[in-house]
Amino acid sequence: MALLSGLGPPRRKARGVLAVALASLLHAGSPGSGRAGESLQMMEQKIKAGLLYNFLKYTEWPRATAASAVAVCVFGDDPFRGSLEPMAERTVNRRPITLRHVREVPRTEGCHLVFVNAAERDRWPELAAFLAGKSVLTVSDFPEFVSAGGMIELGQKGDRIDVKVNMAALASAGLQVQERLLRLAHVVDAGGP
Amino acid sequence: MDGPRHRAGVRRTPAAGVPGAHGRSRSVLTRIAAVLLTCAPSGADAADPVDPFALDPELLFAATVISATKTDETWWDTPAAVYIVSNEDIARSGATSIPEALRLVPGVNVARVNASGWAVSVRGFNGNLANKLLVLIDGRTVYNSLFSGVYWDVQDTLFEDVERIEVIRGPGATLWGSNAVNGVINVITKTASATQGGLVSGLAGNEEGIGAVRYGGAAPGGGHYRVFAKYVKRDDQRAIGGGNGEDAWSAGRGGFRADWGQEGGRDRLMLQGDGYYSDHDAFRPIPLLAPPFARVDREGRTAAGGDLLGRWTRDLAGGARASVQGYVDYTFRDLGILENEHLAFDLDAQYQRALASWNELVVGARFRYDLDDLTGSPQATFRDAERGDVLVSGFFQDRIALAETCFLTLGSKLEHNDYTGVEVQPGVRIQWQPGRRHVLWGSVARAVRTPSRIEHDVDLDLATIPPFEDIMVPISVVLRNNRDFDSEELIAYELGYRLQWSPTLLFDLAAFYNDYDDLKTNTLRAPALVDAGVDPAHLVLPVVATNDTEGEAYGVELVANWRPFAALTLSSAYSFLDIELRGPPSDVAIEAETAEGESPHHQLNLRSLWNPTEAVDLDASLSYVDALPAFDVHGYWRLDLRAAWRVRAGLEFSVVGQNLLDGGHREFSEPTELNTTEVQRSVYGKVTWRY
Repeated sequence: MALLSGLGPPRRKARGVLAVALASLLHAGSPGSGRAGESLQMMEQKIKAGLLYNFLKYTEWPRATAASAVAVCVFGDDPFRGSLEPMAERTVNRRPITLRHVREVPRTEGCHLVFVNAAERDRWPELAAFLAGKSVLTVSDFPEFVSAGGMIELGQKGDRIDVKVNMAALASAGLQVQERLLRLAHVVDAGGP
Repeated sequence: MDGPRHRAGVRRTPAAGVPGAHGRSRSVLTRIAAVLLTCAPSGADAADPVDPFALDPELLFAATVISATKTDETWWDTPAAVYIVSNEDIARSGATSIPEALRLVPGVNVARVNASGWAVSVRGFNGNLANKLLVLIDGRTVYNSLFSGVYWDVQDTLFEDVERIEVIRGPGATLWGSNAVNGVINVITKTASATQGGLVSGLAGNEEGIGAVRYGGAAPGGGHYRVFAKYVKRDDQRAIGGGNGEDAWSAGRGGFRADWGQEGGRDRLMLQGDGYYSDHDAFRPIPLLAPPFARVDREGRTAAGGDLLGRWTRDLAGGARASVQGYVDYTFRDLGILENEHLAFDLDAQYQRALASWNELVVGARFRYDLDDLTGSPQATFRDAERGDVLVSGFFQDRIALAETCFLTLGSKLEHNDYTGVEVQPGVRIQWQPGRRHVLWGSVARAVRTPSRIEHDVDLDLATIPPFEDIMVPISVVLRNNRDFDSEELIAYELGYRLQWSPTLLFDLAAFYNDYDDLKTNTLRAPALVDAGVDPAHLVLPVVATNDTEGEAYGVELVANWRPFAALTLSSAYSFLDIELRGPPSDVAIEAETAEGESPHHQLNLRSLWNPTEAVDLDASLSYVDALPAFDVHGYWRLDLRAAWRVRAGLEFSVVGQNLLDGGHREFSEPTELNTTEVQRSVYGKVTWRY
């Protein structure tokens, strides 16, 4: 099992469908881990990258912030192990996506979404202060991110990614997340930054 | 420690290998790499082909995290011969002890000497205490510094709580230090948060009985804990050639682990402790200077011990990580001829950070104090009964991305010990991934096995040879301490290739050439006539450990895993090994080249893991182990079968049959042969209840 789940499967996209099938089958083969086909098994970074894309897709920004491209910024080191890069090849609501790696707080100017590396939690207050009043969707995976005024926190519950959404913080930034996502997430009202 | 050491020494910076964000210096390196190594760049891709951007949010939210991914990904990416035995592998092997669970690992030779003893080695040089293998349990070394080696009867835990066993073939001294010569075995248990709730298991069969309980709950301060207890009783094995081997064994153990903080959080703290004992009877030969020249006593042997370990890990800004680990380990062992009490204090700190997106550095420092106390007998005396030793060491390891697909890892351990002074153990590894489906790696490394007390401090009466031919008096063969005995040295050259043939078929090939020097040799010294009047007149023939043997070992290990259907996994492992030694002739030394015949040339393991339904496991394992000419052990086949049924959530029944092909066979030997017995056919049933 260890070796098999380590099978680094082929890279071609054409094999994606097969791999989805395989992933669910592999999952079914491990005892005590649930029913067959119930869910996909994926690398944590991939799930999180996919979630970021869906946050872009299902969030409405105020018209004033519209730009030709949607800017996704990673604050601090990139923890996605290469899973995020392919997002730049996609579009969201017919706009291209640009990826930026940002280390300094002022450089987040112009970002639509900022993912805060958990290792940068000490700098979050500084970043939050800078982003206050701007329509920037903030996402991180450090614990208690929403309590500290962040908008979307990616935690883990059992073997699933648990998403917490802070409605007050979204509202004060003028952002609206669509119902389809909110149904799946845990909605909390933790207050703004 | 949680960081690179548990991961076969090489941890990848998340940013390394990711295109973009690289400076000019990297492109210079890239060019150098392209010229020197023809590492052709190719686009980076993640490890699994599912496109997360094409999935509906409902699917993504429901997706489960592959918990073993980090390990497995590391395994795939590691420029070393690594094999991971997962929790599931252990359960489905039917093994009831850690060494038994290692039988399926390529390059590892596991031989059961008797009910309570195993000889386990990697890439040859097996022995009851194989001295070229380092074993760690959750970061605590269990290598014995009196005899060099591992007493497997006291290395145990609840198998359900083991996350994985990492086996690294080849030297690991650059990171782990001395004695990680031919390999490293890391037993890694799950965090306490992953073992919450209760577990009760009972196992009963014709050869053994095991009972275990565990309970995990919430610890104050947002943490989790678990406590466990386990009792093992093993029946007598068969004596060589038939009859009762009289080697029954019982052992008990209790322990705990507590964890605070979680992966991704800033701080993590882990505390764990163990207490255990092991009891069995054994035969002890006592040399006599008058006929019949030897007597055999039967006596109880006891071992006991306890340990307490703490580890603190902090994730720092910029992806850096620091960790500090400390432990205290107490062991006691009564070997009849002597008693050994040992107390170790070990403190280890590690820091890792990315110096640049293409360069990750790990540095570490360790301090260890060993306090060892020996109690002798008429047959055992010591140069120093009590001895305290200090070990200080530091290491660095730098991983450099030469290109997107090519990595160079350089490192060295620098160690000072009280036996041989300074030891330098450097290593270089290179890894090339021409596409996600292929990994090629190579390495050159140096490692040493440092002396232990048996060579430097101990005098033992080994045997009496009765008068023969024109020698009119008995000869007393005695082991004498020799403080000139120096470290054994290895320079290892390795090559490896991993191939993902298809999503369901994987190959892993490793080849090695080990060049040994200064190997331990039992050298004869000039005999002396003793005629003092107290004992009958006799010749004393001293034997001392010297470094007069050299040689080579080479071999190949091949793993092939195929998953034709989701419910069926077929895996195979084949290992070939040959050792050629050159030591002094028999009038100068005792069997200097005997290690050539103490490890099998060929080993094969074929496994099938089948789930006809989700609630049922049907598993089979067939192994072949080649003959050991040095011990008169014949090659043998071994068949193990297992069936398990999960009746409902939390309740599992299983039936296991082991060694089904013969009534008993011998797998190894020990110096006197008196305590070697045959492994018998065994059948057991097991119930596991989780609540």
